[in-house]
Amino acid sequence: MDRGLIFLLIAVLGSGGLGVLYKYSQRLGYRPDVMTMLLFFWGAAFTAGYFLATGANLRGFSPKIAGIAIGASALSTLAVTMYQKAFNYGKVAPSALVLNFSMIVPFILSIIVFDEKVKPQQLVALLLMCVSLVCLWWDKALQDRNHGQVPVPATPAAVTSVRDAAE
Amino acid sequence: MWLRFILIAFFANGLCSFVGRFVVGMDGRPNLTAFLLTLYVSGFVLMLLPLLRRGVGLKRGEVLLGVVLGVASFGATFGQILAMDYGMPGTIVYPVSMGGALLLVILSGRVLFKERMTYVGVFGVVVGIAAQILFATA
Repeated sequence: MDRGLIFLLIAVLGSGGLGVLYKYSQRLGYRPDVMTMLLFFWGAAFTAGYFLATGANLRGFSPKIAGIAIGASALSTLAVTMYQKAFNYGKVAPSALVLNFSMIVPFILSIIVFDEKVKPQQLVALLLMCVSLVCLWWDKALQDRNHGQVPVPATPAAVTSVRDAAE
Repeated sequence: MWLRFILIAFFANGLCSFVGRFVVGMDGRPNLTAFLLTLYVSGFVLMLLPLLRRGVGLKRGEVLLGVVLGVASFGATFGQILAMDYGMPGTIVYPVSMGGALLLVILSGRVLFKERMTYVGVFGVVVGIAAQILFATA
């Protein structure tokens, strides 16, 4: 099997696994801030191992990049902790989807900061994301109205049984 | 509350991605491993300090699950970088890793956690995945 494909598979399992593990952690009553701290600890340990194994090369690393990394870590820890806290109030699928939509933020900032051009496909994708968000909000509203139960569509059989009961 | 937390996560994650994109686009070839190592270490310190101040202890289960989370995070990050190092184009790596991971999470919600959605919600998820794939391949 192609090595690139193996690493891609690892990336898929890792990214997807994170969402599943956060939800599992919430079900077990583990604390989001503690889990974030442990994630960054073990992430640092594995990355340090990889860094040393590949020759501990510091070429292309500057204090400026270090400063950016520290700023990014503040944002990243905030995102991970809030994402886990959201699981206490919402479901896995919409939470993961909304988090993935955050790619819109760098897209919009790139347009503002770097004056990047917008492609028609990207505009269609943004429109579809809006449609998706409305559907997810609607789904949550429907379930909240039905106390977390998925409403059963009014089938002819259900209508008949209600009419029979009334008679 | 769900909306509040997920919106904070949305903006923080989006800004973090922007910073990552900025570093990758810097002149020369930025050292991504050193960048990620600094990010992980400073993130760990940022989270550790308030926990130490509050005197929070660790549960055994949290430590064990933390190792698995670390493996998943490391695999997700370096899996993408190494897939591209081994010649896979970013136009394939990003949409596949994003869409695949999302599908995995959604399936786990249904199968492992027994979370149900209305037809409207399922439609929203399908449209959302299509939108992301379209966006990433544009």
